[in-house]
Amino acid sequence: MDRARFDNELAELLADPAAPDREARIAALAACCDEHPGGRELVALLARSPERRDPQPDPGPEYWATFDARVTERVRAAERVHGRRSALAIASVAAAIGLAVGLWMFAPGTGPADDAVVAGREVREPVVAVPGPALPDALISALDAAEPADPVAVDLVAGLDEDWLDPVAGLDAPADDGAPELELDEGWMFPETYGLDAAGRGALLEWIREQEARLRGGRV
Amino acid sequence: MEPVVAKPRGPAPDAELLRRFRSGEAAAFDEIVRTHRRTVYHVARRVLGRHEDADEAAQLTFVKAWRALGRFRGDSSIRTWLVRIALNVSRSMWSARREQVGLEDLQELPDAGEGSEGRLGRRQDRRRIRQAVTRLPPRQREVVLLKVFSEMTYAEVAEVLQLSEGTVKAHLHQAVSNLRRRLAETVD
Repeated sequence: MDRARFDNELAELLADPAAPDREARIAALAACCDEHPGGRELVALLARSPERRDPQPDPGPEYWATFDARVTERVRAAERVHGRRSALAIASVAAAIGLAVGLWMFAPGTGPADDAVVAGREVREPVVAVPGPALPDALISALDAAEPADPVAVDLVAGLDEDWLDPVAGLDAPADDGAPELELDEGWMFPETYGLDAAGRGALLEWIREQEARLRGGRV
Repeated sequence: MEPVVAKPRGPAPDAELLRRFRSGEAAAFDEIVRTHRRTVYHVARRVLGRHEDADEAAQLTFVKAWRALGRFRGDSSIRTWLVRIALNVSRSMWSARREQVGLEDLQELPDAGEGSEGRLGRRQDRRRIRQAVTRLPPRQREVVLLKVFSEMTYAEVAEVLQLSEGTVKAHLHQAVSNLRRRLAETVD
């Protein structure tokens, strides 16, 4: 039996424990082992029943008794981290929208027009065609210049860039990724932007100024 | 002796489990874990060797499965899907360990032994075969672990490895040739 046929027979018999004429074929291989170094161990492997080819020890009933509970615990931990990250992602998107709305409302010459003013003047352009005002250059520059090491910036990115959608890839289960927990300052959320009275508008303006100052330089 | 890869024994069919899981029934996931935990553990154990590593890989596999189960379309069985995740997790852990401790240390995998009827020669043979399997290219190694040692069908191995059955067969034939050559090199 030449080497290629010897190897083919080995592979076929290893793959198929119910191959026809199995015993005779194994005997034929065994008779050729001396011609094909390394074949003896594999033929011996063939001769064993599949479950004895590479027996694995079972960890035992005590191990299995706690296994499910440990899985449940880790799933819950992963769920908590997922919840925090989702909430953070939603909050950061809401904050960005709120900031843009606030700037649009209070920028000179923009914002929703007063009914009395609208009644007294001709509408020159359809409302839907009016683009919103651009963010102030200073704010854009400050956002662009936000350092990657800024823990808020880094954590916001991390919150949106997780392997949640590809659970099969990688090992970094959220509970185990070692990433620092995000700690937000007290009152980091902006005030409610709808139905504001004069005092509320003042507070919102003040908050926007604080955020601008914070992005330009030191954190407030 | 524990079955090499435990076949599901009388659980609810996959589609039924998926339906219950998607409707928010936590017990459905518990049933999946109970049914497939041994399969997942033993696949990881075959790749990683040590119980501690296999335990960690099995736990991680189910955490990942829980996250992804809602989007699992059921194109394959839950069992082969879980084996695929377990293999990926184990592969990553294997790579990380190889970087840490080196290939030589990894070859000293624990031998399950055969109890009182174990014979030294047979154990040595098994150890040499296991070391030779460890040195195979990754795909060939995985085909041997799943097809020869874990008794999966060609179709199941193809599903787990996302290959065609023909490719799996080709990998197995190459693996056997390589194994024989490597064993020949290490004849005492």
